[in-house]
Amino acid sequence: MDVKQQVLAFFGSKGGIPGATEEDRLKCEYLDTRVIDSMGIVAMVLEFEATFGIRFSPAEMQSMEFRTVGGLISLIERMRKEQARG
Amino acid sequence: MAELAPELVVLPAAGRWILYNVAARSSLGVETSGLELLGGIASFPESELVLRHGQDPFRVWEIAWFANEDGLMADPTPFRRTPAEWPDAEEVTGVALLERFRKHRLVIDDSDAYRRSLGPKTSVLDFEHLGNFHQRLGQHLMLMRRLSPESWWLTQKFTDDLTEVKGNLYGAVQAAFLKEYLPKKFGPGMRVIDLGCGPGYFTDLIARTGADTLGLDPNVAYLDVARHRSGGARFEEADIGRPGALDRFPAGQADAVFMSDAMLFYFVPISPRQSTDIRALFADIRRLLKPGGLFISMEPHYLFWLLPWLGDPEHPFTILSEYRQKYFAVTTSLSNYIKSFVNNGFSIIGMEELEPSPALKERDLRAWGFAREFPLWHVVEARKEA
Repeated sequence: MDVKQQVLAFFGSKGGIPGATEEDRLKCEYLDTRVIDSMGIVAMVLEFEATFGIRFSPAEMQSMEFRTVGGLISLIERMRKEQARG
Repeated sequence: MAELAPELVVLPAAGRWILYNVAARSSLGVETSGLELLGGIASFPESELVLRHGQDPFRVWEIAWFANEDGLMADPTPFRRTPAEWPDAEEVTGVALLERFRKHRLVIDDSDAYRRSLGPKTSVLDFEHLGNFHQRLGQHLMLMRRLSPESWWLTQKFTDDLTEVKGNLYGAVQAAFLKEYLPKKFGPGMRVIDLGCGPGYFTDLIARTGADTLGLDPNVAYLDVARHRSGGARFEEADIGRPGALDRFPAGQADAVFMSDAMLFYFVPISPRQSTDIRALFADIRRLLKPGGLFISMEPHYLFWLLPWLGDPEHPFTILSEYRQKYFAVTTSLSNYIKSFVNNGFSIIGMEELEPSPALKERDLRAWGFAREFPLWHVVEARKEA
């Protein structure tokens, strides 16, 4: 599975992402729409870091990108590319 | 128009300067040239400052840190105090330094937006608002340290196996005080309930006075630790604060109820799910106590806890920036605290403010100096009224 599929599968396992279209689902702010709660953030971060071999920096977690499903996918994809470049 | 934040304070730091926004709890380290640039905001249009100094070189230090990293009672000063502790300097232009001033809310453009930014966080991913201490701590632990706040709250106070209080302020002030205080209050022939006993450390101290002691707590894991103690106390699970949760315990059974580091959560909840019905809490305590029974409440000092430790250990000072309408500190005013007893059927018969043990002076001179001048816990004794 690619990053997008794995991230969507993660949120799917939490009850699914609200939205009629994929575009809506990618725009979803997963915390504000209660797909996961504040306590679930730690598990989410740890799971994505372990799955993708990345480490979110404080600045990355403070970005607007981090707050949406689509933003998170883009961020992880970019982090993996940067990591691959060394 | 750019202006200096109204709560800006400048502190000397061995030839450099700490710029500290007391309200936003933000800070930055600069040299005198940086301080002069900041001062220029009050005297010149920003465009003129940029024209004169925009490309000048400045050195700046990011000195802010999460002050309670080492515990709830650790030094809460939200910046690295001395240049020896500061990170490496960053070389920036005047334009970039002005942006740093904005980022750290030392310079503001819109006072209404600035005031709003001091409000509560909307979620753990909200970095725009200051949030109260609980929110900032939760955000720091979960996102920066990947820790569960629940486990951290205990390990910051107790050793890893939860059997002993750590040798920090909990040990040197709170536990040291209670080891002398509890035998004066409790003894053989008395029945005492420790409400919210956690892993049972203080319950054990009470039991060792010879009192028949019962510890109650909602957390089963803590109770497992508590039950391994040898002082002779009994422990039972009880969802304290939930109406009806203590109904199964007989009324009028206790000579005294003890509660430590817990009432503050009834004034400012730690999470939206938490019960905060303080009337229900006091009704339970009254029901459990015999006529004339004693309720002892020990709390982090509602005035001084979480204030920055400034000055030197012999002459400490602090800056009080909130009291009645607290937006950061998670305690209420002393009068609200006292009223909670008086309005719920208790008479206050005593109050003490804890002093640090002399041993703390050897281990942590600054903590000792501050705790000696500005008490970090208080204990209130109240008698159940007829």
